[in-house]
Amino acid sequence: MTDALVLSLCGLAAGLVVALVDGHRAVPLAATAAGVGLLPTMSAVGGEPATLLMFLAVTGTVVTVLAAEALAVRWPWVAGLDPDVSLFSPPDALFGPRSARLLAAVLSLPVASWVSFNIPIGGIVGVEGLLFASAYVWCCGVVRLVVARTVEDLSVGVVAVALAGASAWLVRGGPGAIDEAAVLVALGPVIGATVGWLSGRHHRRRSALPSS
Amino acid sequence: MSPVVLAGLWLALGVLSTASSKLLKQHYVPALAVFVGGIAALAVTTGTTAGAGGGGQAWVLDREGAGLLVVAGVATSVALLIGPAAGEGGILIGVVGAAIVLALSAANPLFWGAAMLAASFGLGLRWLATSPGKHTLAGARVAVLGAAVFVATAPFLPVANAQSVPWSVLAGSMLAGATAALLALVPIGGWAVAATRHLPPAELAVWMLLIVPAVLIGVEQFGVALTPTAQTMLDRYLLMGGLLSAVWGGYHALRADGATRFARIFLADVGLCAAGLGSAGKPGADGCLILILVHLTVAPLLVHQPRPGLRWARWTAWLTLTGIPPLPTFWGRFLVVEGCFASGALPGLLAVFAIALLTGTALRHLRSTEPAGDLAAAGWVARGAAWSMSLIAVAVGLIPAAAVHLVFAARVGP
Repeated sequence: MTDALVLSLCGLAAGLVVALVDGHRAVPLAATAAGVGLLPTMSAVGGEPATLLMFLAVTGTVVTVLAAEALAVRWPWVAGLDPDVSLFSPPDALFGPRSARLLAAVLSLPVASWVSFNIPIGGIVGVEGLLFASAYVWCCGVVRLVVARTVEDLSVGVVAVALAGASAWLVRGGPGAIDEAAVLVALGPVIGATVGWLSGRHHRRRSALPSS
Repeated sequence: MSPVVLAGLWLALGVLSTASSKLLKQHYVPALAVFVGGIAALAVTTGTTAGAGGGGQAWVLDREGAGLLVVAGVATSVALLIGPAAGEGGILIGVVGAAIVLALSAANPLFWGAAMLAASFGLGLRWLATSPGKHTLAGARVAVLGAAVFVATAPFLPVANAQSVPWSVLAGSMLAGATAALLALVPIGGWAVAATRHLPPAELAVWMLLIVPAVLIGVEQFGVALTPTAQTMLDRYLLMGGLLSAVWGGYHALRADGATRFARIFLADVGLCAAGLGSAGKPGADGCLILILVHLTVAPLLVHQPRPGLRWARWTAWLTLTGIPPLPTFWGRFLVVEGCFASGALPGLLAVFAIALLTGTALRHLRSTEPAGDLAAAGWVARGAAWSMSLIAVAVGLIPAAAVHLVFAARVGP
């Protein structure tokens, strides 16, 4: 296997996880998957500093989700937004939301592939497969946004878009690219803290209800 | 003060307003916090930025952005003051304000995209917390999607030296799509119409007064990073997409009931602003700045439902929307029409048609009767703020060039 193929396969796996992961741990799981999937690309173009940046972004997102949730559970309860509850009830359909996401993720493959092979970026022109992982994870993040039904879906989409955007920025290169990408990946921990906080408040409310 | 410090101040004020709203039970605390954040922009050291599409390294707020932040901050505070309490959501207004400060200061397309992503996510979260439902979710996801497209466009900019046609086409079309999503232009502007029906007016005002003007100013600055092909694509979309939005919005404004009429006019005028930016020559861009200024002054008052004690202040604000000379919308729309005719006969005629619809809507509203109510129903602070904004709107019409120069440091005219 060539290096480009390995990078692309990592991006493909990361994108599929981003598109399909559900539940109240979706944000840390999606951030971890996207981070691991984009890590080979970032290492290839940015070396150790880029690897460290992605490691910090993923770790920061996971830690802030857990810390904010643990803190929120101890906070006095108030009525609020539950990130895991669907905001509307769609009509029953043959295919559920996850099937639609899987279909969209499959359709994203040729899009990401076309971008990777036809759009020169920065100083790296025509390098096969180098942009595929970023483009595919971004597409899957957008899929989550388009079919979002919960705040958790929106958050997964934003985190995936931020990590993919930072990865593409590093592929583009230029002076100070790693520092600039750090601004974008910082959104991961911020979103994580928000979702963790909201999720913790919801768990606090559920545990406060009398058992019937 | 640097723009990053100002963004931190907005964030801190948001947190403080949320905390103090609970302690003091005063509904004007978020309005005061936003007012302080807006005025603090006067203390920022301004510089010359290469624009959102440029290749700079630092956060630099130019004079145009600083002026916009001051006026937008004051306008948002008035909207919060006149409407119902913002309560706990003050922190999210702080997040949106901080993100807009960073977006206007971004001398780098990636920073611009990241700031808009944070702003649209914060706003979406606030909308979902305030009014959870299908329509607000649609608004949140389209706005966040637009910001996500800005993020994806950043690595492809600048494309000034690129000879690749796919590159230029992709960059131009992505910028056009992202702009359409955030400004609610056709064909993806339906979310804003639904949001106007389902969101409390004070929530809508944050999008109208903070995000829309920032996007209009920012998109204008992307031009420095685009090839002629990409610039032409973006301009053509802004021109025709904006005009179709204006006609569509004007038609529905004419048919709308009193509750959603102003929101429809706002959406139509945003379409005219976009058309002005996409039109040939400088007049269209000048008209866009005047229209932004007009809506920053009247929207805080008209976005709300009629309230006892504010009848004549609202009537005056509606009067400024008629487009009768020398009222401010006349100058703004006239310059947009001039720019559209410079681009072609069809755009010019569409602009004239849209403006006729908007004028008819405003005149129709002036003939209708709003509840007069009891003067004591609105507090003296709210009445004073409402009258100030209405009279400022009238004054903008009397001295449009000076007003635009004062706020944006831009010169109207050749």
